[in-house]
Amino acid sequence: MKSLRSFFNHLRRLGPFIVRRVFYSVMVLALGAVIVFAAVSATGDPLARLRADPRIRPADVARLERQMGLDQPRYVQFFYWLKHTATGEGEWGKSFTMKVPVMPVIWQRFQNTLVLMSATVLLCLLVALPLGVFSALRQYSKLDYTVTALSFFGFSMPVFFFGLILQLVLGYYLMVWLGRSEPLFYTASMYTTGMEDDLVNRLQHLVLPVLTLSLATIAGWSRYQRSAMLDVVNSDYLRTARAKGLPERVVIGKHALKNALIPVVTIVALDFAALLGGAVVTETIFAWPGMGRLFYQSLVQGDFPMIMGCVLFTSVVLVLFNLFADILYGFLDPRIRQE
Amino acid sequence: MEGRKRTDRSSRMAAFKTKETRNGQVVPLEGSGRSPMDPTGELVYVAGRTQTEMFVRRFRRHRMAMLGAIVLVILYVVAILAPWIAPYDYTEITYMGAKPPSAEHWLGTDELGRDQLSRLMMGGRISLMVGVVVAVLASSIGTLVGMASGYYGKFVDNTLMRFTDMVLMLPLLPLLMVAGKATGGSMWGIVIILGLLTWMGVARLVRGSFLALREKEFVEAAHAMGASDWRIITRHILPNAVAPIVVNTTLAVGTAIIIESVLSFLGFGIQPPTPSWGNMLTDAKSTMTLYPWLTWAPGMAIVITVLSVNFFGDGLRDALDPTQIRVKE
Repeated sequence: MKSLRSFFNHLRRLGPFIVRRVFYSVMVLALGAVIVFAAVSATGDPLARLRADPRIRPADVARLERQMGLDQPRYVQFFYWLKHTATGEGEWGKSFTMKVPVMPVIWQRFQNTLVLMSATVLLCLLVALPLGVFSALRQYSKLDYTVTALSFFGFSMPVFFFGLILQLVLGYYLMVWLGRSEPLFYTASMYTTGMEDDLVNRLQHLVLPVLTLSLATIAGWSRYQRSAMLDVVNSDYLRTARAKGLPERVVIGKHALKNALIPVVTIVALDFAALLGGAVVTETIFAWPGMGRLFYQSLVQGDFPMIMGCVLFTSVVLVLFNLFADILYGFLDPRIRQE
Repeated sequence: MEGRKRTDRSSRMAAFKTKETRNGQVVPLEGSGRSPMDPTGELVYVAGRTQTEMFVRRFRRHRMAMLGAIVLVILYVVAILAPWIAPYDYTEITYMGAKPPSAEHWLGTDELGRDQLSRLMMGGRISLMVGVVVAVLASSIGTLVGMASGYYGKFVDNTLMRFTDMVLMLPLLPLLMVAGKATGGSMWGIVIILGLLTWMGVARLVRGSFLALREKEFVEAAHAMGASDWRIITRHILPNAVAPIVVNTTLAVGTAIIIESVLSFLGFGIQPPTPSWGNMLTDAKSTMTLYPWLTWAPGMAIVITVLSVNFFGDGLRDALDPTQIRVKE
């Protein structure tokens, strides 16, 4: 109760800080939007294929150009997009290729990404945190060295190559070895068509992309947890706890762990945000219909409003989680509140 | 003021010696009147070593780092000499179709019948070069920003660091993809984009060192003697902050190689027919179950390179750390 009250006091004092952060966040979003818009406009003409097609009359292409606003100067196009997005009118503009408003499509794809990422984060937490804690408690043991070696490997492995290996080994070779006609772990899509409600089938599709995404994340988090735990293990208050005769179980489980988890929580929050927007590679390899793949396809097809929408959505998620992580840190660590 | 700095460094050397005497090698100290004592009361002599000697000894103790360094040297030599030592021309069609590894083609051939080893070597040229150039470019930008920010502080620091935070918050991969597409796959375009979007870590690092170092007495002394800002920054502070920059630049090579390969793999980086390890995997992906050797070769090339860079960087970090105890041999 007391700690909760102290936290609310902290929040009140945070007021100016949050206002400042929101201001910077808006600046970040504006900067991102301008950079991406400039880059997107430089990627080329989305109507090039139509223009090259001799069966389509130039007048028709010109009409399309007018409809899409491509005949306007660049800056007019940008403010037009900004107006649509900021007011929510027209739901972030209309996709060039899908001919529907951008926002509902992004939202639907985002839910698929959320499924993938929640499973990934869950797995990473379950594996990385115990690994980090135990390798810190037994520093320089065989376990510690093994975890260190594996995390080096995890850092050095490009996501897409790991995904391809998993597809080849756990997808294809395993299927051949088991003598099955259908793979045990599927390598594409979210479910087999016609089996949308089959939970087992969905899980079979989920395993490989989750493993792919987890490797690097587990490597990072376990290293982070290890160093956080090492800081705590050598601290004075742990010696005090031991000196007053507390059992080791309580010393480690209560005193040490509670403090060692604090810095990790913020990293988890930030990485989660990064995962929500940045799984372009994994989703593309595994044909997972999420945000990342949507972005990839829009970029290939030159679908300006969709590209802008995806980047903006991702940036908003990132910015919000950054703010959230800062506030969470203050909530978990009373020492920060004191300042 | 140069004299002042030298005193500073030699006093640090003295600290090494006393620390070393407890278990250090017993060698007469040349040209020194007195020798330090160890706790047992025996006279202990320590060989005078230069900073470089100590660095080399510490580095050589780190076995994985040595291995990484050797592998990297081999990779870079092969990449540089690739046009002369590659067994085939990388565009030459030697077979009709893909063949598994054999005596004539150590890594097999691809779907078009081109020798995979030769393509891997030529691809490595691109990937390894992009890695180094991007790392140097990003570190240079980061160092400049960090120097200005840490040295001048106040308004300059605030502005630059807010800007750094803003760039850090942008979603990196989507931006790189869009920018990569905009450059149309030219190698220098990719290099510049990667450099412009990955300098933030070094900037923060350098700023931190500069904030700490500019309060030191030798900087104050330089000020008192009327040295210009530029001279103080480049002659007095930067040499003392160079170790973490070197380590970070090394590790950045690995990151740059991975990002370049991801971009090329997705089709927004280096464009075929120029081979890079990333775009070789794009081609291999669709025929992976039929011709698995086309996937393994470029993939393992990336993993081995980046792993070596990471081990090398790790060893460098330990060896450049001045608080490390001197290695006895």
